[in-house]
Amino acid sequence: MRVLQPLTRLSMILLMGSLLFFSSCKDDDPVPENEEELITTLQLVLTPDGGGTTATLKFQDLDGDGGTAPTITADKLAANTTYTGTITLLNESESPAEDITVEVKEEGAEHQFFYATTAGLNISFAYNDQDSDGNPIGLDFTLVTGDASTGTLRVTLRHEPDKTATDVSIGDITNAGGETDIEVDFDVTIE
Amino acid sequence: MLQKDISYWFGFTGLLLLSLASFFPNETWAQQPSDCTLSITGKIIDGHNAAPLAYANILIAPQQVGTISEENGDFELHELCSGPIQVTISHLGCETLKLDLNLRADTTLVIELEHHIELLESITVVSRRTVGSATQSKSTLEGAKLDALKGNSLGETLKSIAGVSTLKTGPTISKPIIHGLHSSRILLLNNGIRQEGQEWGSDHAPEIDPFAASRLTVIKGAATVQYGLGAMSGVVLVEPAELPQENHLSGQIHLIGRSNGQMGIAAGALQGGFGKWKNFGWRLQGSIKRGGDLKAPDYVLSNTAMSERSYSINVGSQHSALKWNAYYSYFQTNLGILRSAHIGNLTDLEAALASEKPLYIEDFSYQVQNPKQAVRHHLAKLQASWKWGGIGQLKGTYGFQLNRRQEYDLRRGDRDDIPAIDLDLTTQSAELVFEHLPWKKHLSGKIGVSFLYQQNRNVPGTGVRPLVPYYNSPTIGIFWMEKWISDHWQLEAGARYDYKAITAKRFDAQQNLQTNQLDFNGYTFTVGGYYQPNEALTLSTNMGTTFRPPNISELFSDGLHHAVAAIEEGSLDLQTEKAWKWVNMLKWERERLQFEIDAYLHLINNYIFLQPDAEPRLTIRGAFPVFTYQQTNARLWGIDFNGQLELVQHLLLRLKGNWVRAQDLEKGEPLIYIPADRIGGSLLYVIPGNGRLKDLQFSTGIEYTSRQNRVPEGVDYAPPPEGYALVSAEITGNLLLGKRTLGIRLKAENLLNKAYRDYLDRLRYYADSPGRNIEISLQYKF
Repeated sequence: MRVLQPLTRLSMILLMGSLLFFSSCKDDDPVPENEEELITTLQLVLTPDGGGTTATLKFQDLDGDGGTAPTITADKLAANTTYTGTITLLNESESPAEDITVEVKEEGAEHQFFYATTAGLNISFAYNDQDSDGNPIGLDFTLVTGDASTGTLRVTLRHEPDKTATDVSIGDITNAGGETDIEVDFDVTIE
Repeated sequence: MLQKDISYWFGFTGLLLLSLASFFPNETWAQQPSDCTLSITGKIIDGHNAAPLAYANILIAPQQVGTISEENGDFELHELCSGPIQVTISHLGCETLKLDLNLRADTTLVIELEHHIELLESITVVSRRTVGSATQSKSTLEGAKLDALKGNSLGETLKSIAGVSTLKTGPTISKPIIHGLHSSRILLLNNGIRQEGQEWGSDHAPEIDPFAASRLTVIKGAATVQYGLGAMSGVVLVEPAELPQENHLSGQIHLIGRSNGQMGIAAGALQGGFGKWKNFGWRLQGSIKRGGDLKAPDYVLSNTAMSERSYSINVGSQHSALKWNAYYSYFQTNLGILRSAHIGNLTDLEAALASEKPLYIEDFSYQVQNPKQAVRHHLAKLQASWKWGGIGQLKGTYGFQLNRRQEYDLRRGDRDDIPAIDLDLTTQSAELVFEHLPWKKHLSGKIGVSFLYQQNRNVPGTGVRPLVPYYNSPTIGIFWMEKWISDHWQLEAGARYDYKAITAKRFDAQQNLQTNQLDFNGYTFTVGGYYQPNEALTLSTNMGTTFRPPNISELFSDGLHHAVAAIEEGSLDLQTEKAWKWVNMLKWERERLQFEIDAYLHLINNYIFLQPDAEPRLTIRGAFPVFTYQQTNARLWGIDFNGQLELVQHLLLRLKGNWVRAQDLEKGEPLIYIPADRIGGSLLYVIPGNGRLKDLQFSTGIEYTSRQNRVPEGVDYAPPPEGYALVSAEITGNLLLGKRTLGIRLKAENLLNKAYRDYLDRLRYYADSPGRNIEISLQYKF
């Protein structure tokens, strides 16, 4: 008889437990999460100073990482020409498309674009803008082409670079540090 | 006349070893020479009605000290030396009872004497549940040996056991590896409840505070039959001390200071009884820890600061017919992840690899900045067991766990305060086990059923596509184990069936909801034998099969793993892993020489691993290598060794080592991330005590970890780092303060400030491991 009481007690505990079990089984569907920091599109628009054909370099990956592969296009550039360049970042997975350029500009002190070319591609760059500390951001820039040539142009966006490190302010990424938010290679032809 | 039935709810740091249990391979090597500070406390009761028995004589041989039980049956014996002793209990009208114990820690005995005139039976009831199976090789940390490691994370603490290594993500995150395997392939039992965090992640440390434990046991075998899915390579048992049964208030305070990271740790425990209510006890326990950036020999490891807080409440009754226990614990950690390990793409990783020093070094700080992890874990447990007539014992356990994991990243916009990963994992578990009394004095066993229900939710609002999906997952298991116990040997066999289902919901790239239903089931078997021809030698062997369903990450991963700049892809086609593990143990225990050798072979079919794809994936952050989860057949084997020799009086030599070999049998190449060979030796000198300063010991050791030369080709980003040797030294003693003692410890780790990187540290691409650390620890027990 002595076991009856503990039996009762334990069965109550188990009953409580099973109640908790089943009460938690209610089904609720998850809610979709928007990829807020997604950048689908990077576009460089290059306008020749003396007039002429505007050139566009564009990286577009509308479904983000994975899925359909990105498309990368680059117009041909004219030789020995000075272009005024601007860069635009978009999240086109949303409608209307979100302009991420604004966000980067607001946090200009924490971001910097770098433009680098492979050997043989005759291009030089200069920054045309400044953050709140007087350091370049690289959203506006000047691009000068040389003689006809082909090669790769790499556009890099660094988050939290050390903008005061050697040569970073003139566009050399070597000492910049920070981490890479964007790194896109364009195959460019100058003719 | 005296049936010796000794409950397994023993004492404060107690481990009861009965005449049978004295050769169970369940305790550590931690025998301290001339350590005469141990106590035995206990109670003598009438096994029939649990009434206390007063005036029983208790005598300890060979010391020839004794006492008489009080009115309430309680007795206490202090200043006992460690080592084998014989406890003789005599009471009017009863035949004298003799217990052979190997005393290694403070021990509590509850001795039930039968007032009937029956023949004295051999002692058959042992602390089964707390020590597990006798045929499994296992190692235990408790008492002084565990106290010496307090303040470390669970992973770091367990590393002192031969055969256990640590998988790290920088200096703040560590997970135990048993015989080369970790995470979903081992099981952690926190106070009898399966610890359920997001354990699939190699950078998700167990949410367990070692201060809450009085004993840590590592079972180095396939123990799925007894403990359930996941116990493929081993089990870690984290057990708090038993609740006190006396009204007497006691407790301890532990303070630790560390030079590296300028860390401070405070922990305390308080326990007592409930006045008139006999057998009732309670305990409150808690700890806080705060540390700043750690320092490698040549630089600060920026953003490796951390803070941690935990507490537990435990109430229970140990009435001999009905025992119940209610436990709640809370664990919270906030830890920084090495800032220089935060990279955006492969170019950044290459830059980090090319640089001698981390690319991001700032001045020392206590501030935990992004990237960081904030994890909270609640665990509640209700357990009751009662003796069922003359048949056996029934035990029911219910557990509830809530795990909230938030990981913060460096983000654009004002999103630094919004977690990039925010997971809510709720787990409920229930188990009912019936243990039958020994049949014909030899055959004892148990049968049980267990349920587990788990649900994972992604807390909305992260602005990041979830890494793992919403899921609900029930698991049901039934098992049966029997063992035949004889004087010198024991045989054991068991079987189990488990069924696990997963219903997962997630959104595809076009935000369409997709539901996946998966289920897995399988049988598990274990068989083991154990033989002790004489007091010194023990041999055991255990074979177990297991199966492991693929975990949630292996099934559903799809995305970038930031720390290693790789895209990881799960696969719904994965089959369950099926494994077979055979562990053999040889143990020798004499006064001057003690050692233990484990040798094991582990075969795993459908072993799940990450295989690099030929084609990288182009993203706006550059091209990333893609790894997909695939399956192969794998073989692991290895040897662990642990021994101690008394060279001359007061001087001990200790040696420890482990070797693992792991091979992908299909590709004919080694598996990745397998612990390198490790061997360690130390000398311990016991300084003969005098006056108020007692148990003075000095020890110094060196541990060598070799370079891991067995790695697969072309998978890792950097070659394995060089081997390294670390020197440590320690001096400990106990200062007598009236009737109380103050334990004092001064310890130096990495004494020579060696700069090194460890193969199993996932942040080894970015920075060295921490340098020298001097630690001072004060422990006051009252």
